Amino acid sequence: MVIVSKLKKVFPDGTVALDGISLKVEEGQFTVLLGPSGAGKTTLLRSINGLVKPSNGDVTVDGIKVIDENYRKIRTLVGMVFQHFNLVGNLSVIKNVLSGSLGTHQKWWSNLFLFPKSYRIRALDLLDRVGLLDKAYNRADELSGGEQQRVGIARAMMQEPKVLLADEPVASVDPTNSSNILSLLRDLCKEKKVTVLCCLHQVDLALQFSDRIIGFTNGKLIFNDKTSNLNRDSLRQIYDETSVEGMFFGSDMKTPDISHIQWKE
Amino acid sequence: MNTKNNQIKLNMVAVPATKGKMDDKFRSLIETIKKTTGFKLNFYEAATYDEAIESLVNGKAHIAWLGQSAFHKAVKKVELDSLAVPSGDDESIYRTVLITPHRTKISSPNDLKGKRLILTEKGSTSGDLIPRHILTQNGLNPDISTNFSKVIYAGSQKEAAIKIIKGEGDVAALSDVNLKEMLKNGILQKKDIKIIYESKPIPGAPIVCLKNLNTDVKEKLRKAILEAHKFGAVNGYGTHIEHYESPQEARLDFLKAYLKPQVGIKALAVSLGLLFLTILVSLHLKISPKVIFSSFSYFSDIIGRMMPPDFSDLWNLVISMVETIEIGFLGTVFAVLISIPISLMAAKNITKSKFLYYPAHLITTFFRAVPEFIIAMILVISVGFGALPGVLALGLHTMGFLSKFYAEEMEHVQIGPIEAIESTGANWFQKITYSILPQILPSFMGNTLYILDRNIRMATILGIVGAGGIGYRLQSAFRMFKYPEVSAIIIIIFVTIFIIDIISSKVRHSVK
Ligand SMILES: Nc1ncnc2c1ncn2[C@@H]1O[C@H](COP(=O)(O)OP(=O)(O)O)[C@@H](O)[C@H]1O
Ligand SMILES: [Mg+2]
Repeated sequence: MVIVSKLKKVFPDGTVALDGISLKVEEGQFTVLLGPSGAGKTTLLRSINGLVKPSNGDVTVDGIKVIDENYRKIRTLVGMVFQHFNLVGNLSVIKNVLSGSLGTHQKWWSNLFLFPKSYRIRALDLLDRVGLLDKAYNRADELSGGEQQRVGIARAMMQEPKVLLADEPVASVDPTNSSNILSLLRDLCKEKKVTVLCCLHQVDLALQFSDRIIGFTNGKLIFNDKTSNLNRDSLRQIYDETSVEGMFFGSDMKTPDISHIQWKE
Repeated sequence: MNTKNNQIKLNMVAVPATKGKMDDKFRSLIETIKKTTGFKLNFYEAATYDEAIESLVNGKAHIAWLGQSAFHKAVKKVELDSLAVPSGDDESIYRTVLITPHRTKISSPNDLKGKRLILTEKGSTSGDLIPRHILTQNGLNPDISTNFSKVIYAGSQKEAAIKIIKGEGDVAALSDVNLKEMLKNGILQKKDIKIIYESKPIPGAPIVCLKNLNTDVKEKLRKAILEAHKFGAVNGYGTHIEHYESPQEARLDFLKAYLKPQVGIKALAVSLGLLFLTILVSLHLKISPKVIFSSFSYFSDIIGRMMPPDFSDLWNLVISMVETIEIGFLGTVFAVLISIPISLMAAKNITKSKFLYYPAHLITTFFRAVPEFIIAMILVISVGFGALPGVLALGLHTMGFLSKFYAEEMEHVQIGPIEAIESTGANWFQKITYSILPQILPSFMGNTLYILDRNIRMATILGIVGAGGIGYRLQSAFRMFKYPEVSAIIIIIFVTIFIIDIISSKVRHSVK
């Protein structure tokens, strides 16, 4: 589905964000990109839909190479959910959701904010799925952080993507909402057979929601295996500078329940 | 202890502000005190801050240097007197600063929740206690686990700074003195960091003694410390101590750090300068109070001839006024229509090429620079009298403003929603309508209404050069010496503009 090979990204200021990464994202799975802040997770994610141009190496999605000429095509296949939601605050919730379908609805009258009825029904259906049907005609910026992220998810699903990229989708929402939002994201994607690639920095959330974990630090791949194979040592490598236990107390977590984790030594 | 000098034995304790180095730091001061007082003075560094306080409480030590925070803790347990306070150049008073990597969204302590905090050394005044105190005052007590995701002790100020550059933490608390030094040595670069908070000045910590120490002994000690700098270099804890001063003086110094220069003199100089300039300009223009006075008599004469206003042709005058409003309106529509494409070319984040950007800027600047009056005059000559030259002149001139306003607004839109729309596979046009236009809409409306308001007012004057409307009537009335009609026209213009002002400010408020 998504194939990344020898991907390297050096920013103009010399920062090496990705240092020759190769990986394959399994179709239909929920894969978490795990790593401390600054590891390069966002950069990797953004090079999959062309928001970041790699310095070297390449990415293909569904057999299509991610290069300038193909951006539009790739982006209709790939949805994205952002850490800061990136809704258009002045527009209504339903228009934000509908904007997810712009890749396929390219008629000139789309610019008058007009959509076919079937699209509008689908947007409402998605809003119902994320629990915001009654807010459909509110302005997006009136919603709470958690609600905005639900709209962000609905917008991405509106696109009917094959691959969904989610960049720290719960980092800016109220911690009590994190699990709910991730469950919602996972369930919707499983149901619609969407392959998910999701950045997280909280280990316990990653363990709870992912089928597979790709661990990262300093732009290098450390771990790429089924979630159940993640052990303390690989975690220690991913989070080299801190104690592994410390990582469970990530910014959003008070006292996470980690009793369910079976450590493999 | 005994009051006979040669038998007095005193102990002085210092907190381990820099572990193992306190002896060095205080040595020359101690030697001088010993020499001038003849006391036997034994100096030692406590293992911990609490141990130093304990020594005072149980009388093991008589004199102490505790740093700022342990001093405040100690005075709750044992009665202390401040003997002297270090003083030097400005740098003996430092401030605690909070720095972040340059490329973060954090811009004030309010944004720090959930971030990683870097402190320097557990228990140290400038590197731990004061930052904690400051953060707590800002509602971010580091001891509450939800406030920071991590609290890291870097070991030293330098290590703390390096962690910030490496991105191993989101915010570090440093002393500004250290920060300046690191910037000077090139350990840090200005472009890599951002200062998000600067504390009030934190004065140097005093040397204290037990309150129940013999008054004579106390005075001798104080005198010895205050005059120590006369016998050679004094030192102590801090980078730039030149001498010690009495606590009262120190308090003055501390307060002086808050003094701001008063504006009185500057303001006076500026006012005098402006007055002088006004006189010079008046002389150059040959305007004197006398000229102004004599012009009053002509003025009242004209006013007299204008009275009473002649409204006999009211209907036609009102039609001309309506025509004027229409000219302003059409001029604005014309300006908006050309401003939209031009501003798209002139906004750096939207335009794709310099070949669009520079011409767009050139055009807008040109039409901003040429007054509509002049554009109208030229157009009257080429297209003839009437409303058309007025509409075109207003449109072209205000296009120069609107394009600039629109382009600036577009340049400042949030990038996030644009990326989100791009990520859906939207085309270029959709990107503009769905992510940029909604963001600029409120200011778009505000600016456009402002220009509409202004254009209607300007349209009244444009008639004077022959571009239609009430201005044209005004000018003809003047030419034919129909002064009563002139005053009627002025009244109509006044009433109209008064009403437009009210409507326009109401509407602009409602779109905000
Ligand atoms: N536009 C940029 N310019 C320069 N450096 C960048 C830029 N974006 C990210 N970086 C750097 O690249 C590295 C990886 O960043 P990022 O992909 O955002 O990490 P993560 O999402 O894992 O926190 C970091 O060191 C970051 O500072
Ligand atoms: Mg990131």
